[in-house]
Amino acid sequence: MALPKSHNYDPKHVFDIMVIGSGIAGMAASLFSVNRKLSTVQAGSVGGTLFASGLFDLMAIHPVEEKRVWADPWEAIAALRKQGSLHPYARISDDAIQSAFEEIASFLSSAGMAYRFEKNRNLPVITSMGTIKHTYCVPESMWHGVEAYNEKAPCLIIDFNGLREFSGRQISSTLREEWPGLRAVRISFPDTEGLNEVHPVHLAQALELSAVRESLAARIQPEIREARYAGFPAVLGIKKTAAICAHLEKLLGIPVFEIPMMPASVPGFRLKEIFDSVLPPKGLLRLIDKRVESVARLDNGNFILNIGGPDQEQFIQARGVILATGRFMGKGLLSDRKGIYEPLFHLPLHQPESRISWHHERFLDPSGHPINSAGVEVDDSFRAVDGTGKTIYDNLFIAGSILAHQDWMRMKCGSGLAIATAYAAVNAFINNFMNKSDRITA
Amino acid sequence: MERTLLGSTFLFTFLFVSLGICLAGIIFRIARWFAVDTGPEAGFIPVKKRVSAVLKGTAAALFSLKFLKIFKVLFFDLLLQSRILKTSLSRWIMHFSIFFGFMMLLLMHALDEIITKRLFPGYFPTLDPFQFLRNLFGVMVIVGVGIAVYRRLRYRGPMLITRYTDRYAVALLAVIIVSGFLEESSKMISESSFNRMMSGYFSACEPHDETALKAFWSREYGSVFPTMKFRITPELLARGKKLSEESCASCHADTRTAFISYPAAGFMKPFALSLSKSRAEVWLYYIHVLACFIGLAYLPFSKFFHLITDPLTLLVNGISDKKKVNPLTAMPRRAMELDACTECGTCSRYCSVAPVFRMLQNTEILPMHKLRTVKRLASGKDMDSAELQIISEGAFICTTCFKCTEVCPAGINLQDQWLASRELLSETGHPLPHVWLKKFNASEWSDRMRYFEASWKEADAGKERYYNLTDDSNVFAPCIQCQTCTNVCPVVAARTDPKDAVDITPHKIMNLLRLGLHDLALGSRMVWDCTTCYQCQENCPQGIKVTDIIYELKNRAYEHFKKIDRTAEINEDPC
Amino acid sequence: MKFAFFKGCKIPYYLEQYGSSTRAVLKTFGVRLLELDFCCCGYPNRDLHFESFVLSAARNMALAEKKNLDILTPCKCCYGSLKHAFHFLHENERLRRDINAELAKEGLVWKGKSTVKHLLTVLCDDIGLPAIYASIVKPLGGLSVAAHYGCHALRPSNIVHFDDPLAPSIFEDLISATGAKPVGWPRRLDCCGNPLWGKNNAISLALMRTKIADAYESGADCICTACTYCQLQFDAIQSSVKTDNAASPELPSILYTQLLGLSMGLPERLLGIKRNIIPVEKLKIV
Ligand SMILES: Cc1cc2nc3c(=O)[nH]c(=O)nc-3n(C[C@H](O)[C@H](O)[C@H](O)COP(=O)(O)OP(=O)(O)OC[C@H]3O[C@@H](n4cnc5c(N)ncnc54)[C@H](O)[C@@H]3O)c2cc1C
Repeated sequence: MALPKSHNYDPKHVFDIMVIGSGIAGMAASLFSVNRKLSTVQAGSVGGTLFASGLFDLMAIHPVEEKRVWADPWEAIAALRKQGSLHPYARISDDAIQSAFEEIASFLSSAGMAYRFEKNRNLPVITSMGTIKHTYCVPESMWHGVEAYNEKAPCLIIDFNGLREFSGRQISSTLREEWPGLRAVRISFPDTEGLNEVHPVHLAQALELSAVRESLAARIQPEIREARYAGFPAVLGIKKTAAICAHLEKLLGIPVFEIPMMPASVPGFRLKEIFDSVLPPKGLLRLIDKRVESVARLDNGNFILNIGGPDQEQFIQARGVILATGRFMGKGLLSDRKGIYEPLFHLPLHQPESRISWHHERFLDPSGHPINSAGVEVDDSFRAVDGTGKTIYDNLFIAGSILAHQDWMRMKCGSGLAIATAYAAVNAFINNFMNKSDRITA
Repeated sequence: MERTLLGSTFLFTFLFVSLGICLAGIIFRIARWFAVDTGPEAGFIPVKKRVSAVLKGTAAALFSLKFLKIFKVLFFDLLLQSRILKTSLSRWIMHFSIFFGFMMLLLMHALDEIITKRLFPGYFPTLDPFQFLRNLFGVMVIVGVGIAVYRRLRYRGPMLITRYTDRYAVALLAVIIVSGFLEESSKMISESSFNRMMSGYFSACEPHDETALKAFWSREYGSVFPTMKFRITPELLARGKKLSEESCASCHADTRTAFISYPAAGFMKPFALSLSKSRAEVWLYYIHVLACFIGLAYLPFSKFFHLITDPLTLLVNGISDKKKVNPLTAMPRRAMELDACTECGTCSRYCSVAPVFRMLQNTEILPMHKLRTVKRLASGKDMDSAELQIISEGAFICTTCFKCTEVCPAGINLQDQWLASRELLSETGHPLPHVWLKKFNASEWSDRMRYFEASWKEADAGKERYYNLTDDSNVFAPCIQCQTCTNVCPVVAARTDPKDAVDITPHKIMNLLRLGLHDLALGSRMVWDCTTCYQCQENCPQGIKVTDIIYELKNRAYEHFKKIDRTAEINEDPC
Repeated sequence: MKFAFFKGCKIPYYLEQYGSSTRAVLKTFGVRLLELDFCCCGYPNRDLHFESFVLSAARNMALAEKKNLDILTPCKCCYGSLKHAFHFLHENERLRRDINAELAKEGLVWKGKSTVKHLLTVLCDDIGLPAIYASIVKPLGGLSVAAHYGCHALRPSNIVHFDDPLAPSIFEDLISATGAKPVGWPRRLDCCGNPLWGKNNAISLALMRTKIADAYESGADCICTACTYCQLQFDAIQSSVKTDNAASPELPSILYTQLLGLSMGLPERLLGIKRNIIPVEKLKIV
């Protein structure tokens, strides 16, 4: 039986690179690979992308214990390096990180989801709970929110009946002191009157029809009054957000922006949609919903990956592998009574001595838990190393949250880490392996 | 002829009474086609209108230029019975033998005075080819009947059921044909018949002529003269032959061309004397003729009625478009079709959902049974809700694939029958499961399940299932309640009347399963309004088979709910 | 090339033109189609009773196997159903044994030797796009077409193996071959609503109307389907519930085999163009 479509997939083909994982790190790695004309194959289920808020954090908090928020992410990274941290950022130059972001942003923008960032500054973004999150790179659709917040301009937050994940009232009451011009209004989304519950993706889909936008705008119009901005939950379409924002702005006469929400979040769907639909035409072979079950290595060093499927197993041969399987949620790391392990390559891990020391005594300890820094240790080429620092395979590269010595959730560096390490890993594959290895030319 | 001498008034009376019954029966049955109500109430039109519509339709058909179509139906479907040939050669041989043999016997033999004699002035039943053909046609009927009996024994089961009407029909046919043969044989060996003929048509010139003729007949034509003894010499035979040629041959062919009766007569020879004495040939004649008359009278009430209904049905449906039903003539047409069904079982044999029948064992799935049920529904039989439930299951499992309509040898528009009866069932409170299930909401169903636990629990116990997704926590435990399934669900997204909105969204179903409360999910709108588009399953970040789980919940719900009384009031224990 | 042609239950009565146009198009590519004594694919009954769904599907696959043929079906629901049954029979040995015991009564056995293919796959992979391009004599330039994928062929991808479930392209590739322009439309992978027709008409229509409005707004002149049920939904059912509401525009729906057949210059009669209830004449391709 053929692999899930690929009109011209040849099972005997030897791929340059296999990306294992389709979270942000995996997707970024695939993008960088196909951009560099590597023949690339990728496996993994939907992953954490769906849950992403759409914001790309670079680095905002360090050290975690002090919860110190940095206005300039680069300064935070510099501080990391100065302290001799083993954080993966310490192995990548600022220029490389910057280029990685630019490459991703330009890709997303050409796919219809533009991003904005300022060179040396984290941006303040209102969250659905009314807190301010500092992040590096925001979708265009959220940009006016940053402006509105900076100006503290009169602003209307629109909330929808039945949308559980979002509360305009909570936002305005939390921010009241700081931003008195913020006002919330709750209305019914067109055609949802009487429903107890509405779901963000459905609203986003509905807004893709102009008639729905018109009827929504008509409901909002009388509430605008003095407001100079209109903030919406992040539901302004999935596939044509830019056009929808522009249309709403025209209808309402003021700039509109989106406020990121808790999962399942629409911007996450947008990212997934773009990765899913734009990468394959660029030459990526996506093995949707397939897991790599096991790995073997040939004498020539190539990896043979056993791709599981319900009906039949398949084998893929690749010259190099980028492992971006994430931590526990993505099942890149598993745990048993003895500790944590990495199930595919059985890589040695940096991890707490014993299970007891996984967590600090206080569950909400601000400094996080040692387990949150566990993972695979790498060399400067992002190749896995053993306890003595020796490279394990010259063609196995690691990217994303599976890496050790980082606590992305608390440091607010998740996507940045995923993107930057994927970039570094792909470039290292080319520079330190492919261009050097005589195996390729042989 | 000697026959008419024997109680001719009795036979004529019998014939006319039979004819009377037959005609009255036919009129009665045809009249009923206009009187019974078939299909949904929405399609009802007054009887008067039905009659006028049918008359108009018939006139229109006759005056339209559909001659070619009519001829095609008459020639291929009726005469050659091509519709049977298309589905089964053995059935065609069977049916064609009976049909052709019987029809020819009817026309050539039974109605010889009216037809054969006019066509062939020199006609005598004892002349060839008539004598030979009579035997041939008789054999055809017997062979056909034999195959029919064999088929009915061999393929006994829900696909081919044998009812009394079938037995009567077969028995009557057998009696008519066998008695006919026996009568012919018994006459061949009957001395008294020979003597009577001789006294009527033969005058001897020489003293030994009688003996010579008898000797010749007994040697060559199987006649038996038990009371006579003669020595057969070649001279005697030669004389007998000459006499026979002079006096008999103009009316009597060689009896051996009666290739069944002649050997049969051979077997009867030992009993010739007693048969002749008891005038067996006359009694057999009576049996033969009376059986025919009884058949005539019985015709409108028996399987033989299809001799009238099937040609009519074939004609009507042959010239009209089965896909475009005329609502005015629909009801009488359907009623006629109900009479046209001979329960030959072809439809069931080709039924697209026959495999479903094999699993569920509900005969109401099979078209042949279904049509009988439609007939019962049309006759206004009272059926209880449980029975209707079973009928409705069968009616809605049908995929209206049109196959049975295409193969029905009688040309019945079964498709229309199914569509109409489904509508009728829906009207009377027995729609398809997805609809009747919504009579209660999820928690009402779960109450009912508890209340009527006894009705389904027993059957449930010890059932070995091939899949058990809904009870296997490994299947749904990975759910992190991220709501992706709900967010990608088009049914949850569909904007309809809020009172019809989905009650328990997919991620909540997963949660109910995790809590071990899947009884609460069984009757939920989400489960029964699922479009099975597999968005949830494809998009679940945890790889949970959400749609397959919903499918399984539907299966379980249906299995349990159909055993639960939907009409009963339940009084939940207040504690 | 020869296939067992699995028409499914709805074509003979409700959608003859799909059968005839499929035959006409495939014939020109030298594909021979053999109709066996098939029964229902099992799909409609999967809601109610798993085993009878599997038996139905298995019986069909066993019939094709007996003739050493792969199955070609133009219907995506039949396709999905047969593929699912294949999967269940393949992975569940007890099920396979019991189903085979039942099939044995008819002298049949399911071994999983026959492959089930959808019409589009045969066109795109077995016949191949180059051959299709070469067969076009009347390119349908200027026509914008919304390819409607149909759920049951697309998902779940790990069982149906049809195309990339999230970013399929096979249908657009095939439409481009006819010279028509496939439009991008957000709802292209969504359900047409037909599975709920007769069960919950309100939802069924809501799903259909959302799709039509989306295709319309995305600039499509018509919807193109390659599935019996989807076509019934967009043609017969759409026309039966026609309203004068400007907000729900009417959009004709054409079968892919009709679209391709027209561009190949096949006679309209074979393609059954006139049988479509919402006339496609106004597309000016006929
Ligand atoms: C709730 C939530 C909120 C978030 N919010 C933000 C935010 O505000 N800002 C921000 O920048 N980022 C955010 N993120 C995104 C986050 O940055 C990334 O998810 C994180 O960096 C991890 O990325 P990853 O690709 O390394 O791993 P994951 O996203 O965990 O992906 C791992 C992938 O590997 C696959 N995999 C595992 N094992 C195998 C195998 N054997 N074979 C094949 N595939 C395998 C999995 O299927 C999965 O696709 C958020 C994520 C979550 C979950």
